Amino acid sequence: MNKLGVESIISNICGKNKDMKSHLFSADMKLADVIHADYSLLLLLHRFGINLGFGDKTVWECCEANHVSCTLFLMICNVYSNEQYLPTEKEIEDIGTDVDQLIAYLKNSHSYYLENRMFSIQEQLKEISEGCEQQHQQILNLFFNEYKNEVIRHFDYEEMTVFPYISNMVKGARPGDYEIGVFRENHSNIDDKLNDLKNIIMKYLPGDTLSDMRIRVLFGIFALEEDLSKHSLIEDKILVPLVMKLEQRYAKQ
Amino acid sequence: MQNNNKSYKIVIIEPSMIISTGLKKLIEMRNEFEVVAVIADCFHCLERINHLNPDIIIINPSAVELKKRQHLEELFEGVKDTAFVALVYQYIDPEILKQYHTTIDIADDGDKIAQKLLHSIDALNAPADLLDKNELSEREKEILISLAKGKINKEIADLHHISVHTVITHRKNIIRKTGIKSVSGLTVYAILNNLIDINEVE
Repeated sequence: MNKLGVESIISNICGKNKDMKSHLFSADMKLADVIHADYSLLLLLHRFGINLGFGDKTVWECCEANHVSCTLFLMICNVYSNEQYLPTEKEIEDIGTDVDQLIAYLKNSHSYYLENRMFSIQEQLKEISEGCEQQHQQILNLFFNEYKNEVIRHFDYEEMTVFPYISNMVKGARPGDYEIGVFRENHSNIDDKLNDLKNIIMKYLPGDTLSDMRIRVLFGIFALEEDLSKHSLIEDKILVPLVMKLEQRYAKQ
Repeated sequence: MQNNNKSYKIVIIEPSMIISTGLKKLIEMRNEFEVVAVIADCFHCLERINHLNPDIIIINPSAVELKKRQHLEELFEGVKDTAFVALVYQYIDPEILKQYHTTIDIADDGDKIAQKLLHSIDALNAPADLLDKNELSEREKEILISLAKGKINKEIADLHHISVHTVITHRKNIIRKTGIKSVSGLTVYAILNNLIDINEVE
């Protein structure tokens, strides 16, 4: 057997090439079963405006009841749960004008990241650094604020420029000279500092006080990082191609 | 070719002919490089490689036997002053990649590849001990302090009487060793390690 063959066997054993289709969620599954299969999807419910207490309703029924596009909801669930999954071009095109719902979802995610996740990371960070030297406390706070501002600028650009452009286009207003290609080219990554923060807390922050709090904040950072990476994946691989299709469609009219 | 233009001798070790042929072609578009051999695996050719005495060896790490992948230096103990560049188009354990001076990705274009190859030569010549230690060298600490104070590459180069290339190599090593990429993250690192005072930060 050649070397490449061995590589692919190893990656199969490690589960990197899991048979994907059989792992995807479908509309007729009970929503409760979906959550049991991957509890991280709980995070998505609120962003789509789906409340708990859904009994034995299927995914489709829950979406209907809450006026959520079932295609979109499933697509996002599958992106979150399957490393390998990306929707096909046809599936993305089928979202069509439900792009509004996708934008609402992205906006809800933004405020969740800022008001919920980053807020609690910052609070925990303050608590941890209270036991540290004054300078250390100061620089950590400075660093986190700088990171937060970077994220706010990033989200603001999307919410003030990109999303309104898309909504206006769908409403039929002639777009100005903006196009989604600009966003695609400039969509910056915002995870460097978050990754740095992990290493700072894990490897370099002196002292051994509040170790359970340190671990809790690390869990929070890892989870936020993972969530943000799915978030930008959704923007880059679903939102951008969808809007490009819409641009073509509206240009023809 | 002119004499004052040294051309670097390169050996490519890559099992796929499609890829090695393409890579060779891209590299040879630049006249500072010369591909002296293309080899599918490195089991039978070590002696030949030693004899060729290349400046750079580009290796697909998966072309190296699994047991030997971790011990690149041992495997190539015959060659001296050679930069090792990994050619990567599938998942390779980061621990294994650490042994290489740099990594070429399958999606890199000709310019990027040429740039990386030149960097690998720089990294080889840099005073920093690149292949094992994770601790910052004294020189790297000095560079880190300058970075944390908000200095740009050019200023650092002037201050320490080194080329911008070397500054970049030092920066890469600092990032690799600390696991911290952003300048503000490095500033935090410098303060936590008492390398600078917070008042020195702009």
